[in-house]
Amino acid sequence: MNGKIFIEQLKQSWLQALYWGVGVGFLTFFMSIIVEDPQVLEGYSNLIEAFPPAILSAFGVSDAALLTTPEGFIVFAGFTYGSIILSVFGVLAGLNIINNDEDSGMMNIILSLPTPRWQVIVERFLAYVVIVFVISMLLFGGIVLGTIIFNLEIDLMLMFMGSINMMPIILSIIAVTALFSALFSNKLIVTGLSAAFVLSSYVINTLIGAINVDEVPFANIIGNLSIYNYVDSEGIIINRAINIPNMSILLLVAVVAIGISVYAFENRDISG
Amino acid sequence: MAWSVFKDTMRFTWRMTFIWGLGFAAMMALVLQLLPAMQGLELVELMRSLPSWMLAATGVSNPESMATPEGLIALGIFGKLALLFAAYPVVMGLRVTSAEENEGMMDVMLSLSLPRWRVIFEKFLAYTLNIVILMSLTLLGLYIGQFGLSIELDIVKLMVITASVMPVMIFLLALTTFTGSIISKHQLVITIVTVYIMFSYMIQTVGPIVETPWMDAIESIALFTYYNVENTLLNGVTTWHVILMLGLAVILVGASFFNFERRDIAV
Repeated sequence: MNGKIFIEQLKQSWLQALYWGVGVGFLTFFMSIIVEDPQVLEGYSNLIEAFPPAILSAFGVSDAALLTTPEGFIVFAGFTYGSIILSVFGVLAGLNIINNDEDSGMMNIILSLPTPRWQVIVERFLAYVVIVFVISMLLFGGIVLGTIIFNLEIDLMLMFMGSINMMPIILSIIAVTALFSALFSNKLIVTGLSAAFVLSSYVINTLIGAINVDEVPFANIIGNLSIYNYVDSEGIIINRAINIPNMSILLLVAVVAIGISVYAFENRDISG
Repeated sequence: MAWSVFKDTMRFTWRMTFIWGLGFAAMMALVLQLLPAMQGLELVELMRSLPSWMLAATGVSNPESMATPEGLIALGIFGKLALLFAAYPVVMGLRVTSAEENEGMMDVMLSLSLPRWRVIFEKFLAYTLNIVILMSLTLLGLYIGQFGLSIELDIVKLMVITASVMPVMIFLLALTTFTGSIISKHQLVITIVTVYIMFSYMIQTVGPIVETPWMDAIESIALFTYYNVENTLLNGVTTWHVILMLGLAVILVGASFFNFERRDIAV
């Protein structure tokens, strides 16, 4: 039956989503506590302004002035770390699409039902789209709660866009992990490849952010291979809009990865 | 048989450690080779030439740490890469009890004439040795990476900073082991440890900005307070940080024996 796996996945994962959502919601709420003290923001502003721009670039801060606003601080400290935390969720969720059930021997039973393989992958991924949306809204909820409790003057629309902006990277990590699961049945290999994908993206983004890309051959191209390159939370504060091309690239990665997963999973044996 | 779990663990994990070690070594060598292209390097010479009062006036709190290539690398890159070093002990810590319990292998292992505490103790020692091997390879990569560089660099200082992450890694290994000994759900263990690491990492950035007693209290429980790159750069390794991390690791492993002896194993 269409939608059965989708609903089942939501039933199984809502508690997990709640834990993660409350966790990242607490993170952004914590940022609200920090920006609530004007002295803190002023001290931060003085610190940032005192550093030469080149040094700030070496530390991964590109537009210092904007980051000294409450919104900028929440984006810099909350969304940047939020995206890294949720990358771990992405890998764990991606393993749930195929690998965990295959590893525990449940996949054979699921596939013995009159359910095509593509439906398992697509419906589970769609369920995670909903779950990731819920987590993003809980993350946004942390900011809203902080704004209400501490009476902060924060542009909530920007914060909402920042929360939505986190979704594509998490979905692409889920999809890439699902792709590795569709290609390999060994859980150790899938986990290792997924972790390597996330960690290498993080390392590339860190290194490229710290160097003059014009001085290193292919640095720009290598930098574009990192998924974190397309998160651009800072850009939301600077341009007051979501970077649609960046978002589209990540969503395209997710759709292509799911497409290949379906093909690969249709054409291999299930272990167990 | 004496040390059978230790030997078995080493036999199964040395390849993985070697691969991680090669990856870390390559990364460190790459970081050093990219140094000439690093942003802010041109300011190092300028900073060196300025009198200290003038540097202080520009807001650079510790000119000694900033005004060197190794300072720029340590503060700009090593601080951020601390997260990677945190990933390895978590992966290993999960294998002490949690992964095998999740796979249903722990029952089989504990059906042997083997006390539960020995499983934890010998595996913990084996993974600690793996951390030492991993970091030795990482330091080797760092050392090799300096060759061919046109910039003068205090490589010993960078190696000390890198090696100073080891007590933190051993503590994390113990913390993951401890969490796995009280919670049988594999994913919940990963989630708890990940949240703690990320929270600590965030506090590392935000903490120094907020000078309040409550933030000082939070900083004291954050992991990366005890891997302070800037402090190590200026003053060398802080002995009490090392003692604290290793002491807590011993306590956590002891507590893991206690917990694991007293609970049912998930099947």
